[in-house]
Amino acid sequence: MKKILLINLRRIGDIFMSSHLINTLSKEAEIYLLTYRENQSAAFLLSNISNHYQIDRKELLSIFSNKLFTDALALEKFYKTLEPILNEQWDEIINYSNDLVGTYITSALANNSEKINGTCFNSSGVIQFNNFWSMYLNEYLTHESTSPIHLSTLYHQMCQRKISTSGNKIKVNFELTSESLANFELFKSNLINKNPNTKLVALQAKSAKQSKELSSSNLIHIAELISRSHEFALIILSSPDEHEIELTREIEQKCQHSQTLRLVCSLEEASHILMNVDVLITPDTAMKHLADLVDCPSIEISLGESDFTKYSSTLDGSLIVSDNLYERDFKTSKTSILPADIYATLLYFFSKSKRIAPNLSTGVSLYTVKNQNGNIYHQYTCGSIHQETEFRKIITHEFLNTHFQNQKCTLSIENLPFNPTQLDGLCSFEKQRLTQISKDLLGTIRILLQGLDNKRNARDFFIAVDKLITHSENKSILQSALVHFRYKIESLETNTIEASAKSLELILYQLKDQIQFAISTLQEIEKLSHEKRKTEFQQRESNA
Amino acid sequence: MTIQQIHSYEVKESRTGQKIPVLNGIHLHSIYNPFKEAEGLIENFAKEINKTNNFLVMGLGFAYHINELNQSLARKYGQNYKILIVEPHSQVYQDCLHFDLLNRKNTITFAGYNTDELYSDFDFLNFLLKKPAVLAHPASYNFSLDYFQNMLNFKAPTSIGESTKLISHPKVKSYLLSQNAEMSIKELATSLNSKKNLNQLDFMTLALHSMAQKSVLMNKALEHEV
Repeated sequence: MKKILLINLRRIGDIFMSSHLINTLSKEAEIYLLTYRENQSAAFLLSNISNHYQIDRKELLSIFSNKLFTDALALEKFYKTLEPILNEQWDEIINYSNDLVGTYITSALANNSEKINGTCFNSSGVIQFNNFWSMYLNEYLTHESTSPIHLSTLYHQMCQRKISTSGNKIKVNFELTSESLANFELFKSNLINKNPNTKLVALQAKSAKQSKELSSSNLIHIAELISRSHEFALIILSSPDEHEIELTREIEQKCQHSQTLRLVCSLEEASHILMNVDVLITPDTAMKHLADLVDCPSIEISLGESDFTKYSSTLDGSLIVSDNLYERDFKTSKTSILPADIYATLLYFFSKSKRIAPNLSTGVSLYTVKNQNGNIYHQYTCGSIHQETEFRKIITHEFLNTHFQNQKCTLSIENLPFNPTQLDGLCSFEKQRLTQISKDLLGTIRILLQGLDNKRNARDFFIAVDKLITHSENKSILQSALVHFRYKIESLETNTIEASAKSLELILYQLKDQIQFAISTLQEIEKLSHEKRKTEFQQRESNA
Repeated sequence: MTIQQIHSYEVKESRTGQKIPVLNGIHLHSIYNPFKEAEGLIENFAKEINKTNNFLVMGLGFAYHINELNQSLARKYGQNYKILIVEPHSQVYQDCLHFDLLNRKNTITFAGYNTDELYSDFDFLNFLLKKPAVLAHPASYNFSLDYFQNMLNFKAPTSIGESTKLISHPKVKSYLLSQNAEMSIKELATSLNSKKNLNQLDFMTLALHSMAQKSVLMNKALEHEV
């Protein structure tokens, strides 16, 4: 069997999220995982791991920062830690971390592996990407607060795999499962209404960062609303952290006692609790990703720097409450989201028809997670919307799918949250942008075809290329292609302009194809929009 | 720092009949009741005993305080604890063993080592990494004040040339020997940014350095948040 090493030096939530990819890879290979020791409680819960290596970062840094120890000892200790990995021959190494430390470690291991997925440095220290997706992740997504593609989908693309949905992504402890089930049965039997259909709603209050959390008064208000309703019973989750216990105790005190249960639990216990609840309400937390792994849908309150477009639940039907993406401040927890918005979203979550969308506060939006065979996207459901931002998000997602993944266009005019008039306006606005890029591109190609052997032409050519590259900084549905273009230009390794001419020509024509593709996508939408308008008109006529 | 010279050394008996080392005329334990004295000393460390199962003890003497500490730790942690003892004078250690006064369970003793030797020892370094509580046996500590202060204020060599002496792994050693001996590891990491042909250990050095830098940034961010 193949041996794949996955390097993930990120936090607990990312470790849980990597389980989707691990599950896919485990169908064809033995998976070995490298994490920091401080995250071992999360890594320990993942299924499908053949061996788990750990870097004791705290210890290494104690040596490195302490005057009692020489730094060389830290290097030796680090080498000894990684020696079992360094001595192994790998079929693939995946740099899931995509941070500097992970990338250096991947680079140190490059000669031990047939294939590297993700970013690494070559021996000259130049950054290397295995494909468009790892380039896109590094050169674009890491600097942007919103993304047209969910990272779980992106990591699968980066590793050239299709998401596998079958299989356990988390270890199941049968003792804990039955204990948890029995406790919930008992809890339900003590509820006021004694209704076995009462929905169990779990609430996770704390996040790793304060900026991602709702204020405690708002949390208390949400808990009060839920516990007062006889349709729901509230499970307040808390880690064994003292501050969290204190906060959850405060929440519990304000709730309808018989409808509320507060549970202080470890991650492992939490995973078994989540298996038995109907939905989890949470800010951006590791708990959200854990719920995802046990098929527990979530209602995410997306605040602060948490970007649900990259890191949301992957479960079809999970909901996300966010401030309007265009106006949202990703640095602070400043928000227009009110407890009533969360409660309304909860009611909407359990409604069968989903016909009546909740009435949210001004500036608040609701999104629904859609997962079509691993292609995850966030469908605008209701609330505040910035049309250009939303349109660009949808079309870029489609563009990435169709152009870079060679998938069929799945765009349905019915699912777009715009009427035909709005669509016409948006398409024409985007087309204007594309026309300008197109003009600049054709100008650049013209100069190139005239030849770069005279100084004036060469200078004009560089100015023209530079102008094209600046388009990669502007929001447009072609931004992903332009970032790719910029990267290809910047990584040209030829020494002279003459030698580069052929490569440059190829790159420019690739961009031309992409522009044409984007324009034809917009034209297709316009066509569908016109058809819809026509059908609506005909219907109105026949009704009259 | 060398170990303090002993001009006179004798072993006396306390009023309760316990053996006591006397160095240059200084009694290392109570002449009345060394057990009671040890009990009192360890009682003062109740908080530390509750917090950690690792203790670094400066001064062995004839181990009455060590044995008391050993019992307290065993009561709290069962078998899971460790005591590391540093005693500058080999003679004291040898007599302590000779009279069978030390309960050696879960203890490691470094006797007669100078500071450089101590900080070259992996067991010693690994133990320090566990962030042990530090207990100074007052009489021993005061008698060898310079020795212990030097031990506490030790600064490890920063130059690769000096540090390499402490490295045992052949690959890491040979890598460090091929570098500029005057440089520190941090300077080496910085210089690697302009190196043309990076090898495995170069990348590992860069990874370690980035890890440390990231940690500094994280700490600053946390301070800011607080």
